[in-house]
Amino acid sequence: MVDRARRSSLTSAIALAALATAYGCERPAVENTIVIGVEYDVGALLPIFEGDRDITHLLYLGLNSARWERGRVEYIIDELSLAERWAFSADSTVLTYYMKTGAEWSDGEPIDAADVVFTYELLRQPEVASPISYFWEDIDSVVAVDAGTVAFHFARRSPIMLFRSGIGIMPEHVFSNVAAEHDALASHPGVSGPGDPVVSGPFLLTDRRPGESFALVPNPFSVAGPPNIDRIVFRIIPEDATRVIELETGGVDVISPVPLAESARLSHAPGFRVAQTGQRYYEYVAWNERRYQPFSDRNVRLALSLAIDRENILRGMGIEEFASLARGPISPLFPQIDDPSVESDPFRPDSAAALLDAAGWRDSDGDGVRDRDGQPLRFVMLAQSDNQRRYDTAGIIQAQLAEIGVDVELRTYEWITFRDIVFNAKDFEAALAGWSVTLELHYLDDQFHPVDADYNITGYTSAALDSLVPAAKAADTESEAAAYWRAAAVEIARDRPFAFLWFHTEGVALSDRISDYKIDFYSVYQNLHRWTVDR
Amino acid sequence: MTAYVARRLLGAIPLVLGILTLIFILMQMAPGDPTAMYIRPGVPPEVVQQLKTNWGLDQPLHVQYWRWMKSFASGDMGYSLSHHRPITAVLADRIPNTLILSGVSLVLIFAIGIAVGIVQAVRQYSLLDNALTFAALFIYSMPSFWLALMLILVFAYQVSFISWWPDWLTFPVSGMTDSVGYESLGFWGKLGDRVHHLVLPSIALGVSSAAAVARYMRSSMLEVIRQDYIRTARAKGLPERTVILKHALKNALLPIITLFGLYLPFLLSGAVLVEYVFAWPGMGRTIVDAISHRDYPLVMAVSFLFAVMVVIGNLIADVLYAAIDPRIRYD
Repeated sequence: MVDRARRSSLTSAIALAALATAYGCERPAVENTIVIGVEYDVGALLPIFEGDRDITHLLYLGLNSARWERGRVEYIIDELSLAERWAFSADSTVLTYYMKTGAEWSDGEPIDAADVVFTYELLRQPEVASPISYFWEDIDSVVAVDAGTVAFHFARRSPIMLFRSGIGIMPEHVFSNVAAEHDALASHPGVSGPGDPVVSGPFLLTDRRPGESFALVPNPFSVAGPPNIDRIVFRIIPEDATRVIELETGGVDVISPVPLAESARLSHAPGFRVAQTGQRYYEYVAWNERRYQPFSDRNVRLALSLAIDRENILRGMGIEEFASLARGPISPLFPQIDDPSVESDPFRPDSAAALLDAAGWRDSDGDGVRDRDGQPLRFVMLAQSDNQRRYDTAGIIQAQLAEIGVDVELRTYEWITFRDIVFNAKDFEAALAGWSVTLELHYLDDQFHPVDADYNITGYTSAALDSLVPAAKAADTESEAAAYWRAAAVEIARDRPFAFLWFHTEGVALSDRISDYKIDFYSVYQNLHRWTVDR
Repeated sequence: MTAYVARRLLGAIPLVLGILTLIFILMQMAPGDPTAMYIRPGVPPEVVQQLKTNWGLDQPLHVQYWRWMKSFASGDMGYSLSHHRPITAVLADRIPNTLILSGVSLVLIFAIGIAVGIVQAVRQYSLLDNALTFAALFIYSMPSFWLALMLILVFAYQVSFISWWPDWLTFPVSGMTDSVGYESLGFWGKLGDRVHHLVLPSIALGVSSAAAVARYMRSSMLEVIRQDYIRTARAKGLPERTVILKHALKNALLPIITLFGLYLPFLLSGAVLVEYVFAWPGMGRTIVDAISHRDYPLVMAVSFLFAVMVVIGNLIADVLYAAIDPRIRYD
């Protein structure tokens, strides 16, 4: 028995050595390939489901293209557009696209106006439950004039006509036999699982291993022409530390996103660059006046905001380089709407205390907590347990508010529970939360107006917004709308239904091997087909 | 024995049903539902309501439960609301990944644990025994998440800066295979690549449990080697190795078999933290992601599998008892 054990140990050692040798000898050198480490897997990859827009726009081209220039989205015709030009009718309510001739799907079928009509008809089917079904709000009809011409009839002239007519177009010949229902479309081969979808963009999606990786390879049929890189592998690496080490050891060439705390180090490390997507994420404390009556006093909200030392919190977390103090709900990314005369709330605990004194909130019983008419200034603040930065921030704010005699009880919940309580049930007193800013400014409308809006979580109401928001939405031109939105944003900043904390960026770290990338607020992978890699 | 096994299996049916019912109730009691991922500014509430209708979430609880139970009984595990695929397809992807990692870890757990336990028992109170006891307790008390990160830091990151360090001892940071060149490798190259990727996660997953098994094995072996028949074997002049490995080991393994039965469900459940750190797409990540997305059908299906594995694991342990110990008979 002992001899047998020795023999088997020896055999195992030889086998392992042979495997190591075979593996070492066979490791291939791969050129013109890059590996991108990402946090999450992609979901259902269809333009009408909107998720993973960065990837879907590389697979399904739209009639127009867009880019982020001078603080606004500009719509253009380029190699990623299915149309070669567009034209407005005399009254500007009909937008007609003239499609490029010879455009083909990756299976060789022609792309024509019927595909456009099919996509938009699918979008408005209730059972498809598309998150962007509201695109039809201003559209009367989408009509194929002929095989290469499609007309969008809008109810009225508006600045968002190019945006609303620009979603990725889906192949009718592939999806016409699929039931117009969410799960039937989402479970179609190539949309959510293994299978190669029929696409129009510069890349084909292949080798999809859910939860593990997927790859993009050149689409020889694409009107966009061949991409510069032969193969782009996306690897799903959920843990932040692992993703960073993979980059530093050369396991991947790009990681997205970079944990904020690592951004500074990586941006100064040799061999890497960190590109920023712009200050598109903002964080705030929402004061729910529906649930806690003292929050309906504007001076109380102002006092609480003045008691928060934002700069110190950012410095403490080491992210001050990648964040700017919020001056209201508008990101500094939108200069035509962001009013520079509005200032962020400074840290002035003395002024905060004076404001609360004036509002009648004094510590009459000497217990360290302010009170009025026998009621202490005490409330519950919710935060996310699975977001370390927000969790830490909530703790610091709790301590800072205690300094001015406000007693905050902190309760934390995982993200879905938090969402349900705060955004669905709106059953909270105060909550530390955050959103990313959308390309359209409708988030001002959804979050702050009207009082019964689905995402007006604080019950905020403003007579000024009652006139400004409808006027902004009815404006004919972008500049006219911008003026109304700017005035609305100033009003919101003055009323402070939230304590606006900061806007922060998200970084993408790239190896020095990669060049010619364009990464900004619009998208991380907007010109992935033009990226190049040193061989 | 066959009648005993059949009886146990039949008895397990109400147990598994009870577990599933409990999980169904707990999931429904948790705040949020699968549509929560769609709740954000810009998404019309009608869309969220439509999804609820599509997924039957607007039906009363007993209707949802009955509908699920009926399709499950007919062999249809349902459709994953977060993966947008049939659950059988999701599980078919993930189970092999988990079996590979957990299987190798299980072998490590018992191979290392038994070997170390024997050495400690044979050299009781020696310097080696004390050192191994210290090491076992140290490793056992180490969180697997931290151990995994330390292994990556040393054996994937730090050693990559040492010029003379052999490539094959520089382990991949994460993943199951090389993401770029794997497909172009030959059979042995592919096997080598997979083994290379398995080394760190399987150690991270297995080593702390191996420390626990070693403690059990040590005490069990100590008890056995003090018995009369071992003294007799030594008196007969048998070499010490033969006494230990041939005569003592078989009896000392009895309590370890109980552990083996308890560890069997771990083959399928995987290990959430280790899978996250090493980007291993296994069952641990699947169940946690399913819970956080409130993907009810997937949670139910995975829970069913785990419950079945627990029942089977316990049954196998009992059957192995009888196979190894002739004193145990099931009638």
